[in-house]
Amino acid sequence: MERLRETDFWAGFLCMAVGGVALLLLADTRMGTMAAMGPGFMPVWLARILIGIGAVVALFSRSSGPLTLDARVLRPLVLLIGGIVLYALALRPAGFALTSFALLLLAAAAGRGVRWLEALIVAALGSAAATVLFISILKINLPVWPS
Amino acid sequence: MSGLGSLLDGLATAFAPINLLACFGGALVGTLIGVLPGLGPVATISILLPVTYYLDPTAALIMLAGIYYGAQYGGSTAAILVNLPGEASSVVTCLDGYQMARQGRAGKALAISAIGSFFAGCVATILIAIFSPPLIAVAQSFSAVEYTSLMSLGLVGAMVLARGSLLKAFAMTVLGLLLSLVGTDPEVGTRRMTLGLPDLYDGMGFVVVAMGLFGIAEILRNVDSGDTRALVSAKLDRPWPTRRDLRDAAPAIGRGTAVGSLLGVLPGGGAILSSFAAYAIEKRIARHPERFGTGVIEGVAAPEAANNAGAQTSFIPMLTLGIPANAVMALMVGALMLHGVTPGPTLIDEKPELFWGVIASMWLGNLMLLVINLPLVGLWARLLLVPYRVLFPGILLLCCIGVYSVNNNVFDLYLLAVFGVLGFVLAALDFEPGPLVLGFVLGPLLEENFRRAMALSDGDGSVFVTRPISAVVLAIAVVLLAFTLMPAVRRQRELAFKE
Repeated sequence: MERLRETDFWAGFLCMAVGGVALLLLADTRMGTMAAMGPGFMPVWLARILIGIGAVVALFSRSSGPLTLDARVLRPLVLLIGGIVLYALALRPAGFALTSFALLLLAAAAGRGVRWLEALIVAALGSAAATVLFISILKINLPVWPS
Repeated sequence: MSGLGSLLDGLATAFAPINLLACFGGALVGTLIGVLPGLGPVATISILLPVTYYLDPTAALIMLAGIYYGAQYGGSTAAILVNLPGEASSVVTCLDGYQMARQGRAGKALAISAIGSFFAGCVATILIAIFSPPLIAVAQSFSAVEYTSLMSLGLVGAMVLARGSLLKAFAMTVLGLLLSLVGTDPEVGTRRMTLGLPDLYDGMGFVVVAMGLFGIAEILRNVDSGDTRALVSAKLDRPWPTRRDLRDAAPAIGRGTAVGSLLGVLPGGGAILSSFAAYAIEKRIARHPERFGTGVIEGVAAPEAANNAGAQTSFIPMLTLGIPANAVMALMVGALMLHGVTPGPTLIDEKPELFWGVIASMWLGNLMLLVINLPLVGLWARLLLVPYRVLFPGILLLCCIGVYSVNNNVFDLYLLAVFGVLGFVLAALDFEPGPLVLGFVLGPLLEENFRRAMALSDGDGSVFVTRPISAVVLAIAVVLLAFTLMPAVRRQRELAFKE
């Protein structure tokens, strides 16, 4: 069970898991032969190789020492990734200006020692500038305001 | 026509008003994003990709190229003045550049880095002009077999040059190749690994992948770092280096240029690796290696020359073979395709004005960068006073807009989130994302050529070793791998990456 603490165990595990999922997804894809490769040939072999490397890394490699996770990084991770997802969800219904404002504010909250007044001003100015630059000048095809 | 003669024709193209403007605009934008940490050339070029649609292909490529090498100049300014690398390729410049600045020699460090970059840029331009035509002549006889071998060499190169475990770098390469095959099979139209999502039928864009793995990960890494940086000196010393500085720096610039030019050509190489290698070499051959890190001018000159040379010579495989050496070059290929131009060995005959115009514009661009950077350094310095906590939300917004604007598709934003998380997980597990991105960029090309090669040889794998050029290329790959696995070299490699 010592092995479970190694970074490389989990690194190898990840490779095997991804390779396994790929093989499942490719189960119905035709392999073909070497001379006439089907659509499954390359991806299936790549997935097999990935699983093979993963197994070796998981069992034998110890290039990185024990796995350490810093809990403090979770807050920015959740806020930034959540911000991107929110942006995707809101962009069309809520329009470019408001969504950009929300993203800027949410991202600012990811930092340490948030200064809310400053963040508000930055978000307001930033979303205004982005709207002018991207919608008015670069003409990205998006609604500015909620419809 | 000789390479250098055509280069003069290219200069005429580059001097056309629209191209001059594109070059200047690219260099200026490049410097700006180079100074700003966390916003790299990949994000910027993808944001500006739709704009290039209004330009003709030559002007478009000139502008995008300017952004790429301009970013190398700007990155060094941030590294020297605030000890924060604006670009990944400027990480090593921090070591001695910031120390020089603390000793009140910021102006000299900036000047040397600009002069070194300029010299390297000039040499790299000439090298591209000299070596491209013969390379293209050879490349015209290449079949799918040679292309397959060349790309394999590129992937091996990226693995060997990645930091950390070789086996894990191999895993990343394979993962990148696998991810690149998501979507519709180009030959028979079968859908592969699409999870039934129509948005995945065309595969995933490399902008999303590169930005998620590098851009978002970069913000995550910096967001919690607090604001410890401070501009070293409000007033800069006179930027002119003394005769002695020049004498010390000149050989280092020469060596950095050589290292950068060489490593830039390798797929997966480019600017980042060049600067690391150049610094390591300077330290190895120095009479007083212990002085490195205390503000020696060679420690600034060599990596800055190298990253600029590397940025430029990485155009060689793209312009001559049509093989993109990194994500930035893949974007350039994309920009050309947008205009119906396919880069490859035929480009030089079909579009000589584009080919030589772009190369000549690089020299011109380097000259402009000298002007943009030296007198205006005070302006860039003031920009650096803006704290990171104010900057990074904007950088995140730009990443989102960049990803969205490539296809005008909201789905790409979800993918960005997925790859942002993946980038975080990979970093936690000590995986290097570089080989993944190269695998992703080369994957479809590799499959196409491998398939064709095998179809032509009727499934006989021996064609790879019976065709001479392919055999040589593969032999180089094998030697490279074997060499890296030798215990002595392995120790050296670990040591080199620790610095």
